[in-house]
Amino acid sequence: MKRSLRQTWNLIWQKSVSDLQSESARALLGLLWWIIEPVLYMAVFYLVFKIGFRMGGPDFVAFLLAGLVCWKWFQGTVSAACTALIANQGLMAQVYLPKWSFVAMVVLTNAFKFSLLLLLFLLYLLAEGYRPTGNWLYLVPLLGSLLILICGCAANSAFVTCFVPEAKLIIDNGLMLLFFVSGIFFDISARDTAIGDALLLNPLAGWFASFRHVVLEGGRPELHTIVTVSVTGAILLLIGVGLLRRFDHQIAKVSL
Amino acid sequence: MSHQTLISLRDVSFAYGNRLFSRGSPDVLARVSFDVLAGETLAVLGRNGAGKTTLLRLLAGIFAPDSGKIWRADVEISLLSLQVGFVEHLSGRQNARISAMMLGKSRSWVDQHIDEIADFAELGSVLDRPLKTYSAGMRARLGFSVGYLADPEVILIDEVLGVGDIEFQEKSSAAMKERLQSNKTVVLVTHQLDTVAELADRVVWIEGGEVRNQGAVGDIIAAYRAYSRDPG
Repeated sequence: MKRSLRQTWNLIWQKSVSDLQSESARALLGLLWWIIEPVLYMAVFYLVFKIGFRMGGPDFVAFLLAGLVCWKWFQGTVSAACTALIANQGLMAQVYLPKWSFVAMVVLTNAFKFSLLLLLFLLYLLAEGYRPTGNWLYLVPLLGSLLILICGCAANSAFVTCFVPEAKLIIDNGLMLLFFVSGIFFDISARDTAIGDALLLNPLAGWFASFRHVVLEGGRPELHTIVTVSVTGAILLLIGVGLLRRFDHQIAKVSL
Repeated sequence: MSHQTLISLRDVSFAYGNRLFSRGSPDVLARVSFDVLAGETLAVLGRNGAGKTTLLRLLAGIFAPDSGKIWRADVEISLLSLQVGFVEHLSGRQNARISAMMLGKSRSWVDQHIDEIADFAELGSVLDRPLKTYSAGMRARLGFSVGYLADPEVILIDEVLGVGDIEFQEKSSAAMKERLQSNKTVVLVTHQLDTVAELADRVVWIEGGEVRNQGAVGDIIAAYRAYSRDPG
């Protein structure tokens, strides 16, 4: 089927909007569920680490939320991308759509949900007395770099799980490992120096430290963090989209 | 009908393989060659499992051949997929929009034709209700109307000529036959020999994934009938 890139993007946009509308229509609480679900998720961590393990000081809630809000975006998108192609196998048998477009739809819908959560988080910070500074503008390149990394991870996850469905288990466990070594709920710089340095080799760990530094302390992010995350994401994105394009028609066959 | 070729298949073979690294299944289509000419209605005949639906998907570009070549002219080619992309919780209007866009139409095209779609489907004000409240017949009508009005330059039809209740079946079938008899380029897969005799300009007969014969309607139908009575 002849379809220009613009038409494809319009379709991706329309389908993403439809998916969000459909998801909110299915839930009893509609749009509110997109907020309630992650808030419950975060409440569990708060109960476990703040009340259970008595971790952190007076700013621990803001510290924890800063990590979890962005982690939920990363984890939610990559996890959903694992089923992006398999879940649309019926559609793939009826019309031709480039396979990367199914990943793009997942990225878009999750980015929308994240933007709601981020807004709520920033409102929470304002309510708690944190004041925005000019350095909050660094959130644009910082979040942009994470978006590139998310796109890269999502494209590769979708490709791999399409041919090897069992890989979803490995990816889910990999995400869990990443969660524990990225300083989502603890301050990596406060760890033993050797361990802290080792953990910071993970680009996500540096990213979360930079994000907190900007929103909680009004500081500037580490430039090398933005570059490292962006470049890693761009390389993964090139590989992932390249694979999805190279095996585009095999994916349609595999999914049947 | 002109003699301009819009789609050309040369020695096309195709097999379904369920995993990238595993050995593929036997060929569903083997060394298939034929042309689709502008303005003709080309019928594809064959028994169940002959590979007709797979062939349409190859023509539509949903699949690519494992070997051989498919050449397509720079025209809009689309499989008539009814209810494609339909979502239960969205309204008929929203579903019509997404479905038409899946079939290659722009958003502005949908905005211009949405009333026509609603009229043809006889849905009226129901169009803004969620699809989950529709009967099967209403869904079929909406799906058919979108597919019918999307009207690509080359239309690929897999058995579906009419849908819905008896009244709408007559209406949709008549509309589709009118289109088939016009200058539209159509590839039609069907088991109904009467339909082929009435509507087709040429026939390609597929048997066991291979082109057994192709040519004039009367000759191929006669040969197909004889074969069906005595395959040996």
